[in-house]
Amino acid sequence: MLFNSFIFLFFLGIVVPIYFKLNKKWKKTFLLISSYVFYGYWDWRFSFLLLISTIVDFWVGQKIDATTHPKRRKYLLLISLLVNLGVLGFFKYFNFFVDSFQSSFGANLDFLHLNIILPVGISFYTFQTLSYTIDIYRRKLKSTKSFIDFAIFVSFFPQLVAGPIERAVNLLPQIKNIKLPTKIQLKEGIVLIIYGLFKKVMIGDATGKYVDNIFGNIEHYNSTELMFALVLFSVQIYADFSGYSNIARGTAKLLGFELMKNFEQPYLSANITEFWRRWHISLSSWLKDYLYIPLGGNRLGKFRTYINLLLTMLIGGLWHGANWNFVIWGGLHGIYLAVHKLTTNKKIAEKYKHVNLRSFVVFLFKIIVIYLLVLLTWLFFRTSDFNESLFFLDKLINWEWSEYTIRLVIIATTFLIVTIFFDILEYRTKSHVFFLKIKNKAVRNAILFCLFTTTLMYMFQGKPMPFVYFQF
Amino acid sequence: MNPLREMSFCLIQDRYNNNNMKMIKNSLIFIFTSVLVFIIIEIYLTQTEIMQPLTGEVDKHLGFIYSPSQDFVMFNEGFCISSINSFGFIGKEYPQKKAPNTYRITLLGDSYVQGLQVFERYHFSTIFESELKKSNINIEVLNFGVAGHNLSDMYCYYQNKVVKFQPDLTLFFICENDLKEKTITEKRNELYPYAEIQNDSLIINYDFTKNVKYKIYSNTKFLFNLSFGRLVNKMYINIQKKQAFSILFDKFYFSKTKQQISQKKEIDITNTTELIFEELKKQEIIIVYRDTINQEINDFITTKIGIQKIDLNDTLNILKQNNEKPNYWKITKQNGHWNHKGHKAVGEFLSNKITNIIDEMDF
Repeated sequence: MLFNSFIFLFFLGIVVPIYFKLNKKWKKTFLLISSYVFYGYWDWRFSFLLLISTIVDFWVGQKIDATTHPKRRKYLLLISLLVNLGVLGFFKYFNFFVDSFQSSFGANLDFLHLNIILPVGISFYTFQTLSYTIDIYRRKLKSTKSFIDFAIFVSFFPQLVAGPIERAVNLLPQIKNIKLPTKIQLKEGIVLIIYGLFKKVMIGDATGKYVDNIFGNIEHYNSTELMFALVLFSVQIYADFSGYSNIARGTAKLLGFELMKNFEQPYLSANITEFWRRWHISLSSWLKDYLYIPLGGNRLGKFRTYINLLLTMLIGGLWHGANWNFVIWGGLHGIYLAVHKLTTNKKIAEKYKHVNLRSFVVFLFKIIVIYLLVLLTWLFFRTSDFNESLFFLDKLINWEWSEYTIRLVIIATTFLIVTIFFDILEYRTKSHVFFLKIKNKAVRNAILFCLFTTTLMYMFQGKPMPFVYFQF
Repeated sequence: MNPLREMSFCLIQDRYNNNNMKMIKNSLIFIFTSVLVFIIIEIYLTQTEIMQPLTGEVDKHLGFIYSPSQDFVMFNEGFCISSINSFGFIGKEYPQKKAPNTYRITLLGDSYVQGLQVFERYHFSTIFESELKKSNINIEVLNFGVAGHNLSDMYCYYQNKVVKFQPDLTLFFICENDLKEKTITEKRNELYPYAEIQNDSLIINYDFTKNVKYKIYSNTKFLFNLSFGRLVNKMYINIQKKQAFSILFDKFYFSKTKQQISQKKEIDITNTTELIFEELKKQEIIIVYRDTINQEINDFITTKIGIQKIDLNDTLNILKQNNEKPNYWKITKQNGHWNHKGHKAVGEFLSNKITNIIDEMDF
C-alpha cells in the first residue's frame, strides 16, 4: 500500500478510529494485524518472510539474554546475522554476485540466475531486527518477553517499508506502554501527513516524471537535458524520501508513537560530514553504530579512520542495491568524508553558524559546493550501469545546449526554490511542523487546506508513483 | 424587565455578536489566505510545467483546435517538451505564404503524425525534412497532425486550414479505423465539422457551432489556461473514462474486462468516403498507410480512385522482424505510438520515397 494512494488514506481512515476505541490489549493485536494487512497488500507471500525474521530474532534475543556464556552468545548472534543477512543476500544480491562472477571469470552461470522479486522493505526491516539482536548482545538492551510487542516492532506499518530504521530502545518501550496520542501528537501527525504528501506528490512525483523519462532513454537527450534531469533527481530523491518519512512519522503520531527524524535539511549542509548527519539519518546512524564503530571508528589511528569511513560508505552504497553504481556512489561519499576529515582538524560542528554577512556568503558558497559534490554522486546513483554513467559524464564534458534550455532552467529553478524554501522554514523554526508555528488558526488551516486539496487533485490524475526507496 | 436579567441578556448578546464577528473575520481570513496560496501553487504548477498538457479552443471553422503560441509538456507513452507555433501547429514557424523556389509538404493525420511522444528533433517530419534538404531542395515540412482525426476531419482541416499554406504536396496518413463509418459518425456529436453528402455533392457541415458544448468551450477558454483548470479537467476526464474508481480503490476495484471482439469485418467504403477521396484526387496528395490496410481498401484507393500511396508497413515490418519493436515504450512498458526507432525508420523511408517523386517532377 503506497502512502500516496487513496487506498492508504482509506486504510488510515479505518485503522485510526478503530485503534482509538480498543483497549490496550486489543490495540496491540489490531496494530499487528493492520501492519500485516498493509504489508500483505503488495504480496501476501512476503508476510511469511517478515514472520520468519520476527520469530528468529525474537527467539535469538531471548536466548542471548538468557545466557552469560560469551561463546554461546556469539553463536546465537551469528544465527541472527546469518538468517537475516542470508535472506537479504538471497533476495537482493544473489543474481548480482552471479553476474559479477560471470563477468569476472567468464564462466557461464546463466543456469544459476533466479527469477526473484525483491520483497518490499526487506533492507529496512532486516537492519531494524539486526539492531535488536546486536543491542542485546552488547547488553545495551533487554530482550522483550512479549512476542506481540516484538512483532509490532518489526512490522509497525508506518515505517515498515522505507524506514526510518528504528532502534528497539526507542520503539519497544512505546509499544510496551501503548497509549492514545496526545492532542499535540494528533495535530503534528495531521500536519506531517499533509506536508509529507505535498512533498512526495507535488515535488517528488512531479520531478520524477521528467527524471524517469530522461534517465530511461539517456541516449536521446543532450547535455543540457541530462543536467536538467540530474538536478531534478537531486530534488526528487529528497522530496520523495523526506516526504515519505514525514508521512511515516505523522501516521505514527496519529497512533501515539514517536519515530526518529530521517532528514534535517541535508542540502543546507556546509560540509559533507554535516550532510551525512542530515541525510537518511536512521541509516547513517545505523551504519555508524553497527559498522563504523565496530570496525574501529576513529580509535585506531588516522589511516584506519579513513579506511573505516570508506568501507562503511561502500557497504552503505551496496545496501541500496545490487549494482556497482551504488558501490561507486558509496565510495565517492567515503572519499569525500575521508578528505573532509583529513583537511579538518577541528571537531565538526553539528550546524554551521553564520553571524554576519561575510560568514553568510561563505555559508552559501559552502552549501553550493557540497550540493555540487553530492550531485555528482547522484549521477552514479541514478544511472543504471557504469557504461551509462560514462556516457552521461561524456555528455557533460562535451556540452551541448538544448533548444529548450530556458524552459528547462525555469522548471529546475522553480523546483529547487520550492524545495529549499521548505527547508529554510524547517531550518529557521527547527521543526518539521513549522505550520503549527503560525499563530493565526485561520491562516494555518487555509494553507494546509490548499496544500492537501491540490495534492489530492494531483493524486487523482493517475496511478500513484512508488517511492524511490522502495526498490532498495 | 429585571435589571440583572437585562444585563445578563445584554452580555450574552454581546458575546454572541462577538463570536459571530470572530467567525466572520476568521472565515474571511481563511478565504483570503486560501486564494493567495492557490495563486502561489498555480504559479508553481505553471513554472514547473507539470500540468502543461496541450490545451485547445474551438474555432467556428475548424472545430476543436490547439491554442496557438503555447508551450506544453506531454507525459504519455514517451515524453515531449514542445510548443504550438502562432499558426496553430507543432514545429517551425513557417508562414502561410510560401517563399519562392520552396517545395512545401504538409502532413495530415492522427496522433501518430502529431507524435507527441518524442522531442521534435526525433519526429519523423524533422528527419524527413533534413534528409530531403540534403538533396539541395529548399524543402519545408509542416506537421498538421491532430490526435483523433479521421479521414473526414482531415479533409475538413485540409480544406479550411492546410490549403492556405500553399502545399505542393500533402500526405494523408490513414489507417483502416479512420475510414470506418462508426468512427466518423461518432464524432459528429463532438466539436468538429464533418464532411457529408448533400444533393449528391460533398459539403462541410458546421452544425457543431449550435452545440451547447461549443458555447461552454468558447466561454470558458480562460479556465483551461490555468493549471488548476487543467487539473479539474483531467479529473473530469478520469471520471468520464471510469478510471476514477481504479485510482480510488486500486485492487478493490474490479473492472469488467471487455471481451476482445474480432474486428476482422471488412470495412465498407461509404459514399462520403468515396467522395472525399474523389475530391482529394484533384489535389497534389499521397495517401500514406500508417498501419495495415486491407486489400479491398487498397484496391479502392489505388485502382478505383487512382491516388498514389505509400505503405509504411514496408519499413515498419522490417523493424518488427528484427525485433526492434517500433511501437514499444520501455519506460511505460506498453505498446503504442511510434517510438524513436519508429520515427527514424518512417522519416528515412518517407524521404527516400518523396525524393523519387520530387525527382520525377523535376522540381
